[in-house]
Amino acid sequence: MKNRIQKLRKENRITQEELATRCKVTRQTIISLENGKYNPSIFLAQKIAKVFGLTIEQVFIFEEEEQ
Amino acid sequence: MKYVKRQILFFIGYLVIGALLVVAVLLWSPAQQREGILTGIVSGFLVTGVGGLILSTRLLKNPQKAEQAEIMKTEERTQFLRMRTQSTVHSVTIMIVCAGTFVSLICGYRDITLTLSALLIIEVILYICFGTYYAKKY
Repeated sequence: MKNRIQKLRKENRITQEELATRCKVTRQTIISLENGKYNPSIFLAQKIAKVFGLTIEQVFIFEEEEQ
Repeated sequence: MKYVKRQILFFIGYLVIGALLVVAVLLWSPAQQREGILTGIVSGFLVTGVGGLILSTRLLKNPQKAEQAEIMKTEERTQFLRMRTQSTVHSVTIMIVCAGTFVSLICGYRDITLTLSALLIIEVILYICFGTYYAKKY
């Protein structure tokens, strides 16, 4: 699953540390998410989307073939 | 904070068990083995209990650091990593035990073969039991 976290974070001038604190995760989790190495749970996806004031679909790109 | 408080309770439990064991050993263990058993209990339970208690109390005084520690221990990626690691370690352990069973069988070590086989059977039984339990639960 791809995501736009890094792009949105830079647009909103939020550091990885700040985003991690606001979502109650470690900075390493944000790094893994940005690199596409880890897929978040629906709860974390919701928290991240909320930080940017967007919906989950606007932040995470779900690809059909991944199913 | 919840996590740190739980840790403190856990280490207090450790200390209580250690103290009870020390008393039990002093009262009931044979004199020749007393020193060895006491060293083991002191180094195991009491040192861990006291060390853990000191670290947890220090953490309690620094709420920001405590929250960071709680996040590091409880966040979903850590749990995911822990689960994957445990699963891999379990699989590798089973393979090692299987290999050990065959090697001991070929070499003619009957007792070792029986012990390792029993371990494998227990693993399978536990796997079925917990598999059924979690399948019903979720």
